Amino acid sequence: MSSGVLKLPFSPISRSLIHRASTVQSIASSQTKRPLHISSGDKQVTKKTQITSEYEVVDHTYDALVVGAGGAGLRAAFGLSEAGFKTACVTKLFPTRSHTVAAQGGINAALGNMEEDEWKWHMYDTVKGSDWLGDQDAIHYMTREAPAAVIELENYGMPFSRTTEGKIYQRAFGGQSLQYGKGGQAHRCCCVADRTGHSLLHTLYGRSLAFNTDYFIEYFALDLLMEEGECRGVIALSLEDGTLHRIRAKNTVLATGGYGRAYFSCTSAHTCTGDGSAMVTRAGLPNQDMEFVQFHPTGIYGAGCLITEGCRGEGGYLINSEGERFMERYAPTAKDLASRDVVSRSMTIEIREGRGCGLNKDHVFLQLHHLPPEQLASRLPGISETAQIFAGVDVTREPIPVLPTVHYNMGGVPTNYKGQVIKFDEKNGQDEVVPGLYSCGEAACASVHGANRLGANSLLDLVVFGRACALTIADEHKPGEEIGELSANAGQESVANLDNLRYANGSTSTADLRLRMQQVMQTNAAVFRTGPVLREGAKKIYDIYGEMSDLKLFDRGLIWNTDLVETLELQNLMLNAAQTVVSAEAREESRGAHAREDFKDRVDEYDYNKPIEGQEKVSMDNHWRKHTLSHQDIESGKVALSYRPVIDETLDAKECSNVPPAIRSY
Amino acid sequence: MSNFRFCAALLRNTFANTKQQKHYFQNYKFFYSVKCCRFGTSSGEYVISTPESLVQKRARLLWQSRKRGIAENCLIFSTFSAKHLNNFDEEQLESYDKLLNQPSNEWDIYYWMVGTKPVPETYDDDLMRMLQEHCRNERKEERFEQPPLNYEPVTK
Repeated sequence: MSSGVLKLPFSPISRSLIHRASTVQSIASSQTKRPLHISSGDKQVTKKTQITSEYEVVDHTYDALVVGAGGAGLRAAFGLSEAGFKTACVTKLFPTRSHTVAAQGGINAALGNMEEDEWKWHMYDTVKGSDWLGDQDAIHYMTREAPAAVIELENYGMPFSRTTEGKIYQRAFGGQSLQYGKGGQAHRCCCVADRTGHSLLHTLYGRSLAFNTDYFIEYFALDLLMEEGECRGVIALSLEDGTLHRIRAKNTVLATGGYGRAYFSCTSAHTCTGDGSAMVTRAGLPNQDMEFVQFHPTGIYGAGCLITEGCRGEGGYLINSEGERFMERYAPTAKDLASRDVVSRSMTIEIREGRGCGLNKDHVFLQLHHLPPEQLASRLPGISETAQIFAGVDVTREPIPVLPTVHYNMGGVPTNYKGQVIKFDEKNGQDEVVPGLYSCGEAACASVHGANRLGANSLLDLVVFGRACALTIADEHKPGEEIGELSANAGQESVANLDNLRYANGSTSTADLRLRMQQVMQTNAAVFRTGPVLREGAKKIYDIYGEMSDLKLFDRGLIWNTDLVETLELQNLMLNAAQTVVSAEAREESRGAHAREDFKDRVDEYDYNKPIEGQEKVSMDNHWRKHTLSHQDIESGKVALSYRPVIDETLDAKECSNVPPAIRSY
Repeated sequence: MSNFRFCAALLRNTFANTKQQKHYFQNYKFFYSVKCCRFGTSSGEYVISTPESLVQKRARLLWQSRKRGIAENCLIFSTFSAKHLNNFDEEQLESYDKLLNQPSNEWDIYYWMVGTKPVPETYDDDLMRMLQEHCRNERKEERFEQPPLNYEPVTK
């Protein structure tokens, strides 16, 4: 496929051409503000669209399209361009502003630089961490490819921290062990000082430019373009000039990140709005395991900045509205240093029972001012700053308002270990690949994290599955391959929705509705889950969903319309929120990050507390070691659930045997 | 087979589209200039080459203030811009544009504003002092969520 690009100078004449026609060939120029790209002439769609005459629509054609330019998206985009595919990357943010930049931890890989290590031990740790909800073929794939993926990054120029001998330095991280859990702490986390995320983005973005990837920066992807059950691209809105772009591609990769912003307190940036998982829902496809949301016990109320456990390790403690050090009641021995889930649940129970602090009695306090100021300054410097900036609190004098904070979404778009999006055929009990659609990163659910993600496995997930999507596409497709046609009105519903929102004149502002949704999620679908609480949450979310038709926007334009884009993001968040709370309500067990007070045990096909011999295997309908699939009807907002079995077999039993389920204890 | 494809792709890229390819290679070192000519030519200068009305610029900077890579910066810049953006003159807008769009590491910007790391000369101006004062938060404001939108819409 020729990559010939027509270059016209940016002149008044060419400008007026763009504005006159309703469908035009986009024009590439090093002088225009935003490099739009022409595709090779014979593949260009030039027919007039019937969408609407008010909206200017530009059509593009590519071999591959990646939505999202974080760690996973950039790795996929770079891999695809390197393999010769004409690749476009659509992103609402400049790549180095993706939330991946927040990652300060590192990437787990069994390189064995600090001690003898084997990827099979990493595989065991990950399966156990997932509480046996992870698909073992995907985990086998990820942990096996981890060393190669890290070496590859090193070869691309990523400046990992080094030992004195010059090998990549690896540090300890929670949940990583040697010898299948029997050999003590493993040191597998490779990092770039404290800026691993930034370094990853910087390295990958730079590399991808050398291979001529086309970046559509500050373009908001609205919806997938599905024809005959196949994904043929995406329709996106350019924030800069309000034009709509239908990008037709043989292969579309969703790497849009998580949906932390569905909750009031989350560590995610305000960009994490679950755009990919929402697009998939609107395309009639399911999301998987949405109820599994990882919490960290102490984040600053609302702002979400994490307060490390080190604070409590240094002597800080949690108090309720009565000034009581309540952890003494919940964990008499460990007190404030009990495990994360115990601390999170205790905080939530205090709030539920009316002993919360603040005007709305909706948080607790972390007290540090009884500690000597020198200790605070030297051991916990960052805390003083964040407390001052976001809570207006001087930690040497006042306590900090804190709340269990959302940190990661294990759920997302279901894929197989190759990164292909799947749906489940209940009749024959088989996974079915959705042609043309792939997903990777936090947006996807491969599922490698299962019910609970281990630290430093998330960056690994991005890199391995971003690469896997690129490899799968390169294996199964060729550049220049024929793409199915788009119907003349492809993307029409997205434009109609955009138009509706733009002129919305109801009575609620986006900000108000969003806040109410976030508060419901924080109260009803957070750490403390019981049947009544979750049912109340589901009902409230459905009510709020209904109120989306009564929104009021003030910006009727199309250029840099933050009001409109935040409303589109709210639509996306709503879908994610509803699927989360409904899936959680249905799952009557406690597994990993999903902990229910009324169903405290894990319900598997066998009772793993006892030997399996002599036990009768319970049918899938009667146990919970299965993936939740959630479909949603856009009109009514109603969520429909179905289930899919966990994949217990590894890719190759000879290479790596599977880890049979057991009780998870650390 | 993939090697062959790689070489073919490299050859294609090298000969079929040299002008555009050169553009990218030139900018490989200063990759922010690929975004648009806003941030520089191969000499790395900060140049605004596309005309933008002040209303449009403010609307763009508003989006770019609210949508950052880390939650801390999302809150700091959104609360800061709610207070000041509508009153910035052209020079201040340019300075803000530069800070929002040139540095590549969100954490660096945060550390400069908070005082943990020294501010590079190019960003050490009145704007940075305003941001540092905003972060000192002597009035003890609570910044738990992003403020309501108060920008002027761009009408074509």
